[in-house]
Parts: sequence; structure tokens; C-alpha cells
Amino acid sequence: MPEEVPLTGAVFAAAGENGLRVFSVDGVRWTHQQLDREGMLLNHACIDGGRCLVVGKFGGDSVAWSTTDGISWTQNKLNTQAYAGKFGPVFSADGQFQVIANDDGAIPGVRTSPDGTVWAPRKPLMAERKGLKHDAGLRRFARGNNRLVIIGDYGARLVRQPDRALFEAVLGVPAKETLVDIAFGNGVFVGGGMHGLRMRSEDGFTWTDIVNGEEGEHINAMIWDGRQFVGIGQGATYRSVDGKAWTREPNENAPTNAVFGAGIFVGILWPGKQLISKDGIHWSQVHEFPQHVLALAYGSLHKS
Amino acid sequence: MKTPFPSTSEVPVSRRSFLRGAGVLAALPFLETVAPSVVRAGSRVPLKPPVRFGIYTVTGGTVSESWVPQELGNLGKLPSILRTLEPHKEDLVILSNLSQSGQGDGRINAHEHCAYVHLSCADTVGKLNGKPMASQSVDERAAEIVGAQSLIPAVRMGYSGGETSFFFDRQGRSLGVERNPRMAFERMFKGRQLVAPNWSRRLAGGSPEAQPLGSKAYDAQVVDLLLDDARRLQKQLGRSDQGKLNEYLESVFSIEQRVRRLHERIAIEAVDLKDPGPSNPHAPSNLPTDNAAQDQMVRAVSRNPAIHGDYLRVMTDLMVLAFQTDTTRVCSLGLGTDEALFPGVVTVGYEHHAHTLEHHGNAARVEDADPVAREGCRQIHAWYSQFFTDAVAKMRAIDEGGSSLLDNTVLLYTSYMADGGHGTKNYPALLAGGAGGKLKGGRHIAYQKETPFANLYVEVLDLLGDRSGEFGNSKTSKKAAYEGRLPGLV
Repeated sequence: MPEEVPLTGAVFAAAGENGLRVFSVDGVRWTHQQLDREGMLLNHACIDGGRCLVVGKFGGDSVAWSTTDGISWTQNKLNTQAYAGKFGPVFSADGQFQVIANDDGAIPGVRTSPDGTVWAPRKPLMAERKGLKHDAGLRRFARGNNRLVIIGDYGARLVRQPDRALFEAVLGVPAKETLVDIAFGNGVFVGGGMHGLRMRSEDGFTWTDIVNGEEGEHINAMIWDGRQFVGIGQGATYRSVDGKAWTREPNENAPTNAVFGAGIFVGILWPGKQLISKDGIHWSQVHEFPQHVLALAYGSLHKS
Repeated sequence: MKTPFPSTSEVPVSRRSFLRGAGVLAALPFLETVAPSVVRAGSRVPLKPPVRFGIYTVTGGTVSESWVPQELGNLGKLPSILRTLEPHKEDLVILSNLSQSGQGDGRINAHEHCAYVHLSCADTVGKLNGKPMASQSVDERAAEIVGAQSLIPAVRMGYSGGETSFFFDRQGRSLGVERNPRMAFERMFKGRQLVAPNWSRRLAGGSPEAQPLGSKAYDAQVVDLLLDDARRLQKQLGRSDQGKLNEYLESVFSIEQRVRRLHERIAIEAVDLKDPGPSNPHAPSNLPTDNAAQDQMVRAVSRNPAIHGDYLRVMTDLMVLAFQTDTTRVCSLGLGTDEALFPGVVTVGYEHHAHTLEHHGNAARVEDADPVAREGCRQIHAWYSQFFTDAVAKMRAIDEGGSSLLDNTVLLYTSYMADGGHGTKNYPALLAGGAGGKLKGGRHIAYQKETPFANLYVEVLDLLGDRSGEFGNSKTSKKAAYEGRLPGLV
């Protein structure tokens, strides 16, 4: 049942199976839980401009939920026809929520909304589908150096340069250099991938300092914690200030997705386990939901 | 069972005839649930622990570089997908380069194509009047050879995700599969007590004499009446309805046969109960308690890997139990589902949907595939292998009186596609078990590229006693090799 007190200020948000939406101020105690119909999968989340936006699927519909206080939610459909368009990930840029539409063979699109409730028609993200395989999906996003970088399947990397409306694909990236997550900090973009793969770039186009880790140590989350990059892998955490010099520490109970906020890492691990860590290395379980958590976000809800 | 209710007829059917026909349909569930009381003379009693044939086929192909060992000959360290089988590798023969060459008729999609050729190895597969058509699948052929000696000629279970047909009868028609574990258990064991056959006693001729049929018991008479009625109705139907009714009559006839076999089996098992074999069969521990629980399990398979795992475990246990109790000597499991989600099983990246991973993780050249998705596929297949390993371990532990159930079984582990991109070349193929002492394990054999998969079925059928030396397109494939055999396997 939703709790009576509206949420304000910095919070972690989690979303997942059966329409799960839930919040935490400290990453430990989770409140304001909401559920919806069985089978609704909410797998993208973003908090910005005082709102939390959650995007997912229910049957043939792509659904978006938004709230400013964790209590009152508004639901919208993102697709205009059933089974038309695969939406996600969701991020914030240019003062708007942006949801990417991944459709096999089509130029990837984006729908934007100032508040998560009113959505502009889909617009193309690129001028042409060049440098993307026909079924490559776009997965993660980072913003920095006045530009946006999106990564995706088969090594896909898109960059939107300052004062440009459209993204350009980085051409010739081999599939084996596919990134799972990227982050921006200290003036550079840093990406992580399978078997401890790491690399850095200042402009999103040229990637250098490519290094591999140990077999199986897949980095699922690359996070800038304000001081350093923290690549959370399956079995080891890699840390670096600049994306060049790295340290490796075996980790415990590593999550498959994580965010950072309020001085703490919050992670998720199937089935429904909520974890926290102070250093990205030692993780402890603080809660377990009956539903699996698919998405995490950190940001501030409306203060007024 | 789906009833072939006639939709149209060329000859008008009287209300009286219709009701009589409807009576046939209505009677079917009754027959399935009532224990029979007839015995047929002349039944054969096995002379030694029989060889069983199991098919353990999963969806999604595999990731060949993590399945096929690098070395030929004696098995060394197993590739990662098969790693859990390491303690059992002396019971395994891994076969590589087996392929399918059957063509689609242009009316089926790639998944249907792979599914229809999978166990049939037909030269051409497709649809006829909207229904799957292939040639006889290997399980059905095996059942023709050894099925008469067991209670149920062939058991087919799985398809939790509503998979496309793998199994076909001699006429090339798709065969049904039991997807509900509790229903499967009841169909096999209702009216019986779980008992391990005492093969040594049976070997010594200590089974009860088959009793000649005197006057038919009530249930058998009812079956005869139903069949008579249905045959009268058949004469009044149009051609298309006659086809439907024929299929239905075959079903009723098979039930009649099963009624007779069941009673015969109960008599044999009554003796076994007094002096059973050394193992102790029991119902699977996680068998759903009722229909609601089993429906809930099947519905959740595609969404929840924990429940998916429970489903694979209970179906695997049912197969082992079916073999252990000699309920059948041919059992097929169609497991996994391309539509399943695998959070927690796939621990890399952001995609958990098997079908998406299969497509992204495969390309004409492996180096062009999405490596994250391919790793996800590898993790899924390593996960499937855990359950197959459980089956092997359990069968190894079942003593049949000096030999294990695994010693007396040939168990095929494979997939209906070679890879997740609808591939048909170099399928995953592994045989576990000793086939009654005829199959030596601990080996990897690589045949020439695109050797017909049908050749493997010829060898398996030969192990079961088929001397025809041919199956599917073993001799007609454009890639025919080794005169339709697999040299060095047996």
C-alpha cells in the first residue's frame, strides 16, 4: 500500500516485475511501493526535474509511469499501436525526458516529454541508420563535455555533438568491443563490458586505453561516484580516477545493475534482492522483493 | 484431448446418430480415469533390463565454441556449457558436425522449419491444410520397435512455452505433448503403485502368466461399443470429417490398447511389489499438488527462472521415473522456451529475453555476433545443462540389479536448432548412457561437416533393435555421408 507522506528530495527509485515501483531515501528502507498487473515489466527508470519516470511493457503496450511524490502516478502508452515500437532506455537531456525507440531496421527514434505525461511524436535520432546493425538496440546513455553518448548492441556507439540535433554513429567498432555501460566523470567517458573490458574517450568518437580483465568478470555497471569510476563486475570491481590506471578488487555478492547516490551504491540481484555497498566491492543484502527489480535510478523528487 | 468435432458433412446426419457420436466424445475422459480390468493374452515379458531411449531437447540451439570440445577422442576438460557433466564424462559421447538439410515448403517460418526437421530429418517439411507435416519422428519410430513391451509406447512431455511441433506419427502428423507435470504423472501412474521392476526375477521367468481373455470386462465392452458407434457415424460423414473422425478413432483405439496393457501391467507389478527391484521409485518431490498449482507453474515458466527450473526438474524426474518403473522405454522432453526470460541466469548486460539473445548472439560469422548476447546464450545453455546433469546423475544412481538405469539407456541431449539464428549445421549432440553395454562413453567424435543428423538416429534405432538401416533422409540427403551411418559410434 502507498504510504501517506509524499516524497521530496533525493531518493533511489526501483522498478520491476508486475509494475513494481518503490523508493528509498537511504537505499536500505524501501517505501511507497506500488504494483500493477501481473506480467507488467518496468525496466527503465530516470529521475530528473523533480519527477520519476518509469518505462516498460505490458503485453503489446509500452507503458510510461510518472510521479512527483511517489504516491500519485500517471500512466501513459508510448506506442500508438499494439506491439509497435520497443521503447527504452530513458534518460534526461535538454530539460526533457527522452525515451529511445528501438525498432529493427528502422532509424532509431526518440519521444520526448517535459513531464512524463505529455509526449511529443517520435522523431528520428539519426539522419540514417548507418553504423548500426539492423537489429541493434540502444541500451545506455551518458552526458558530458556538452555532448551525449549512447551505447548499444554489436558495439553500437552514437554521439550527439554540441549544438547538433541528431546523433552520429561511430563507425567500424568491432562487436567484441561492445560496451555494457558507460559513465562520465573527470572530463572523460568511460565504458565497461564483458570479461572486464574497459576503455575511455573524451569525445565519444575515439576510444583509447582499451584493457581487458579476467574471464567472466563482466562489468554490468560503470559508475562515476564523484571521485572515481567504479566498474562493478561479476567477481571483481575495477576502479580508476581517469579511465587509464585501474585497480582490481575481488568483490562479493556483486549486483547485476547498480546506481550511486548519497554516498552509497545501491544494486539489484535476481530475484528481487536489493543490495548496498559503501565501496562497490563489499555488498550486503538489505531487502528482497517477491518481484524482480529491473531498473534503478537516483535523483530528486519535487520540493515545494 | 482435443476432440475432432465435425464441422460440416456432405451427408446429413440424423440427430440420433449425432448424439451417439457425441456420446463417444463424452466417454473419453471417463475411459482415461477408470482403472481397467482386462488382460490380453500373449504379452511379452522382457528378459533383461531393457534399453530405454530418452530425448532431452532444449530450445535455442547452443553456442558451439562452448559446447564442442577442442580435442577429438578421449574427453578432456569439458567446455563450459557441459561443465556440470564433468563427473559423468565417462558416460558421454559428444558428436559434432551433425546437420540437417531438409527443406521447408515455403509455408513455414524458420522456427517451424527447424522444429519439424529436428526429430524427423525429413527431406521436406511444411504445412498441409495449415497443420504441421513432416515424416515420422525418431521417438515414434523407436516406439514401434520397443513400445509394445512397455505400458506406454512413447511419452512426450514439455513444451511449456507452446513450442512448435517436434513429434510426428508415421503419417507425418504432429503428435501431442503433455505440458502439465501433474497430468503427465497421473497419465502414467494413476491406478498403479510405484514399484521398481525386479528384472532378475523377470529374467528367471517369474512373471505371472498372461491370462487369456474370457468374457470381456465391462470397460473393454464399453470401448467396443463406442468404436462400433463411431464407425457407424463415420459412414455418414463427408470426407474431411471422416479424416477427423479417423484420427479420433485411432486415439480411442490406442486408449483401448492402453486399457488392456495397464491391466496386464498391474498384474505383473503386483508380483514385483512382493519382491521389488533394488531401487525405490517415488513421485517427484516438487510435483504440483493440484491442477491450479500446475497451471500456475506452467504459466510462470517463461517469466521466472526459478519456476522454470522447478519445471525442468519435475519433468526430468518424471522421465527418470517413467524409465525406472518401465512405464515407457521411449521418453522425450521438449524443454526450455525461446520466449522465456532469464534474469539471474543471464548475468551480463541488460537483455534477459531468450529469443532476443538468440538472434543478437548469432551471425553468419561468430565475430559479428553481439558478444554480450552470445554470452547470455552461453549462460542459458550452461543452465539447461545442470538439469540434464541431474538426469544423468539420478539415472546413474538407480540400480536395476547389477547395472544402473543409465547403463541401460541411451539419452540424447540436443536442441531443435543448431544455434539461435535458426542454424541447421553442427547441432549440439551428446549421448549419455551405455545402451545396455553397447555404447562406450568418454569420447568426442567429429564427423565430416554437414553429416546428416539422421545418421545418428539410424544408430540409436539400431541400438534398440531396428535393422532397417535407414531413417529420415539418412540416405536421401544431398549431404548423405557414411552410407547413412556413424562409423565408430557403436
